Amino acid sequence: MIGLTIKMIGALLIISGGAMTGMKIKRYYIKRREMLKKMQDALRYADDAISIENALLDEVLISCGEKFFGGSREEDVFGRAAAYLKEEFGSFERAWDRACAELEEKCVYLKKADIECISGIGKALGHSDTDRQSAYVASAVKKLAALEEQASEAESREGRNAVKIALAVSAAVIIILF
Amino acid sequence: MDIKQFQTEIADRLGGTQAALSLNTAFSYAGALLSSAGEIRIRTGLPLCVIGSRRKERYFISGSGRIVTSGSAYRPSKEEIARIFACICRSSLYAYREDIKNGFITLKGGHRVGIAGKMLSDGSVYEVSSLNIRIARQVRGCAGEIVEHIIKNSSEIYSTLIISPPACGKTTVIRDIARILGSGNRAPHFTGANVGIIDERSEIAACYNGEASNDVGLMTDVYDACPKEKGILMMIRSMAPDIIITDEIGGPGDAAAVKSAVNAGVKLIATAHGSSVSDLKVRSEIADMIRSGVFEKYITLSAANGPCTIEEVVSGTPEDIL
Repeated sequence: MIGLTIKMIGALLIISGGAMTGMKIKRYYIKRREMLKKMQDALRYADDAISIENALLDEVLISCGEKFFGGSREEDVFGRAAAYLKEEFGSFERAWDRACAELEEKCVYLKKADIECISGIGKALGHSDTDRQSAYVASAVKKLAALEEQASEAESREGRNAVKIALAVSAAVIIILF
Repeated sequence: MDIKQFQTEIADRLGGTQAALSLNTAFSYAGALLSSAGEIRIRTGLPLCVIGSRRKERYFISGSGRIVTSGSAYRPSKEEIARIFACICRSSLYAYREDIKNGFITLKGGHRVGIAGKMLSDGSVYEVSSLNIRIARQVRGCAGEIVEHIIKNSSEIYSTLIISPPACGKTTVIRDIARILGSGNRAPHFTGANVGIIDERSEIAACYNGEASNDVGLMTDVYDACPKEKGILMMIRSMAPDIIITDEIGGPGDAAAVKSAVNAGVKLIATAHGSSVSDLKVRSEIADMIRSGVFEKYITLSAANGPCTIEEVVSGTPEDIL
C-alpha cells in the first residue's frame, strides 16, 4: 500500500514537472510574440510623439520605456537607450546600438532577426526630416509585424506541441518506472 | 557668469567632447577669461577661440585648456562639431527645426548658438561646420544714463530708436530699459508701466521653456520667438501695453506694425543696426517710420569706452532728421 502511494506521488510529480517544462517552453513563444507586439506599439508611439508633439528624443525614449515595458531591466531597450544617450554625447545611433546589444544579451525571448530589425531604428530617430523618420519607423514596424506573425505561428504550432511532447515524455517515464 | 553656471548652461550642452573639456579647463583656471568672454567660436579644423565681450580680444585655447597662440590651439574635427551640434539639439534635430532654419538655437540662460554649414533649400543648415556661442549677460544698471533721455515725466516716455553697430550692447541696453520701465525708476522718477516685449530671437528676456531667464521688469509681458510685425499687433490687441520694446527693427512689415502701435497710443523703444541716424535714411522701412514721426528720440551707441557708450542723442521733426 505504501509502495503504491509512493509510486502515485512520484507519477504525479513527474507529470506536473513535464507539464511545467512544456508550459515554460510555450511561454517562451508567447513572450517573443508579446515583445514584438510591444516593440511595434512603442515605435508607433515614439513616431507620434516626435512628429506630432515635437517631444525631445530622450523624453520620448523614457516615456516609451515606462509605458510599454514598465521599466523592466531585461526588456526596456528604450529606457536603456535614454540612459546611454547622455554617455554617448548625443549620438542616438551609438546609444541605441549599445542598448540593443544589451537587449540581445539579457532578453532570451528575442531572436537575432528580431534584434537586427529593432537595432536598425538607430539610424532613423532624431533627424530633422520627420517624414523620412516616420517612413523608416513604418518600415521597421512592418518588418516587426511580419516577425510577430511568424512568432504567433510558432507559438500555436511549437508551443502547443511542446506541452504535448512534455506530457508524453512524462507518461513514458512513468510507464518505464512502473 | 561663474564656472558652475557655465557648466550648467553651456558645457553640459557641448557634451563631453574635447572642445568642451578644453573650455571647461580654461575657464576653471582663468576666471577672468570666463567673466570677460562674449563669444566662443568652434569651427571645423580651425583654432578653438574665445572672444572677449569688451574689446573683441581673441584667446586661442589648447587641448589642455591653456591660452596659446593660434598655431598651438585645439582644432575640433568635423565629427566633433557634429556631436556638439547633436548635443545642443539634445539629439532631437526635428524639435529645433525652426530654430535651425533661423540659424541659431537659444540655450538656457539666453545664450545663443549660431550655426553655419551647408545650407538646404528650405533654409535649414545641414553638415554644421561652425558654431558661435554668444554668452548672454544681464548688466543691471547699464541703461541708467540712457533712460534719463527716454523718460519724459513720471508717467510718460519718448518713443526712442537706439542705433548702434553690432556688438555695442543694444540688446543688453533694451533689456535693462525694459527692467527699469517695467518696474519703475527713482531718478529720474518713473512710476512704471505695462511693458510688452516682442522678443523675436529670444535674446531680450531669454525665455527658456516659456520662462524668462532675465529680469525684464515687474509689469512686463513677453512674446517669445514671435515675428515683430505679428507680435506688435498681437500685443496691442491682447495685453494693452503702455510701452512696446523690440530689437532690430527694419524688416518687411515692421513699419506698418510700428505705425499701428503709435496710432494706438503705445510708446515704442526699438533698436536698429547703424552707426548714426543718417545711416538709417537708406533703409526704406526705417526711413518710412522716421517720416511718419514714430520716434521722438534717436540715441546712437558705440563701444568707444566699452559697450553702451552714448555717442549722440537726436530729437526733432522728421524733416530735421531726414
